[in-house]
Amino acid sequence: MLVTFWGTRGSISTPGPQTEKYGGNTACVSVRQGSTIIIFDAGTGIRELGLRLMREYERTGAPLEVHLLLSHTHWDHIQGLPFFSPAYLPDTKLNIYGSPKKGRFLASILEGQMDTEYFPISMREWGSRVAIREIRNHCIDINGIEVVSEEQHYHPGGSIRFRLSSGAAKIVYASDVELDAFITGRPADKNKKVKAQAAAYKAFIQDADLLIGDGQYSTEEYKRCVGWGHTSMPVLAEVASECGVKRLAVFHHDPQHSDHYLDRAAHRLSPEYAEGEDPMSLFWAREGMTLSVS
Amino acid sequence: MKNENDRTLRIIVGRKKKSRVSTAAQRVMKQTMPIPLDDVFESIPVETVSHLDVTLPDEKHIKIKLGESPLEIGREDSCELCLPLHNVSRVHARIILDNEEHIIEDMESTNGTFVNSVRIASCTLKNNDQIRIGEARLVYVREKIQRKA
Ligand SMILES: [Zn+2]
Ligand SMILES: [Zn+2]
Repeated sequence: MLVTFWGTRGSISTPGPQTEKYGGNTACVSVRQGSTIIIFDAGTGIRELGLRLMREYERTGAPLEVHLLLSHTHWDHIQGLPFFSPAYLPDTKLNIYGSPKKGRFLASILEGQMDTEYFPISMREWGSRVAIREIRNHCIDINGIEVVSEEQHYHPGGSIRFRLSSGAAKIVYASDVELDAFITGRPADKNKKVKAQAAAYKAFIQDADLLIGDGQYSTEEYKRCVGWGHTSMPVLAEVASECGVKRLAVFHHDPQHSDHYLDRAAHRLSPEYAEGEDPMSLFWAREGMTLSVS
Repeated sequence: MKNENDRTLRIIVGRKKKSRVSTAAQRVMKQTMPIPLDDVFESIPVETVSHLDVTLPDEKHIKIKLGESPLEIGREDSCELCLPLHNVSRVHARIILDNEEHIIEDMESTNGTFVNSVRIASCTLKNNDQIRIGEARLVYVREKIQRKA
């Protein structure tokens, strides 16, 4: 499977010279295997991916079938969708999967951001065949890739984590979750429910070849952002390493974090995990980077 | 006595009425901008040039300019950047220009292509990226320059 980062930023897009390296677009990651295209989230990064797919379509003429997995519907995860060009092609089949929210259907939430007050073209005017499916704690098969989804509670309004498996290869996308709130601390201080949630998270990422995980804050910043639904970098790295993750892409960069800041974070934390019996490649996800996972 | 400088300042901060500002401002522009506009436009950096700084295990340095045509890197003689080194595959990687950006692609090499210590399948290159291919170290340098004469 080939994994490409199109947007790595959290909360809001941050263009500019200080974010040129890691990128300013919000959450979007594609996973491709043969002609199968799976996308995690539709932040502003999906626009560039859409243009890439259009160029491929124009070259080959092969109709596109896209599977878009939405972790949740906060802006930084859906805002690029109206600018996803393949959605306007009659040839395209666009399958969108996500969680229902507080009694509102996913379709109506997505339609809402393309309401005439916000955007000049409504979702009904998309030329493509669109199928929106609500999933939560499901296991589905997309052309031989097994997709498991699980609800995450430690984020305002909740979010979903996804695991893709193909053969022995495993990729986990678990963004927008506050691990510090339920993973760390002494087990004796936790109730049964919290312990079970921590165990479920660990089981989900166990031995992943690649984990794309929320690591928005430094330890210091986290103290000021408790309950905001995001994780501190060292906590993410620690739990990933403990669970035998082979490669960890720190994701959902804080809008205030410049390239320089993220470089320094990598410089400080990555060497700790690079050696030893079970080394883990720890890096900060950047736009335009493609990894091969097999 | 109110000198001309005071007036210039007042005009720039816009305290005067609009009609008076525009004629006065025009005069100030003429007085304070002797540089021909053509020169100003000419000095805007509009071109980007890129090169690789290659360091070999024997500390030898090579500088390779990157242009529009793809650059192949590998052990084989036919590669534009030939690296007859340990752990380098015959055709190990290549650098292509796509949408005004250089992208390095691993050509399914045995030992991998690394950008800033991350093993990649491909990666859009940014200024000062550190690339490792076998024992060779490559630094990608990209800079904006003024239009060529
Ligand atoms: Zn987010
Ligand atoms: Zn969120």
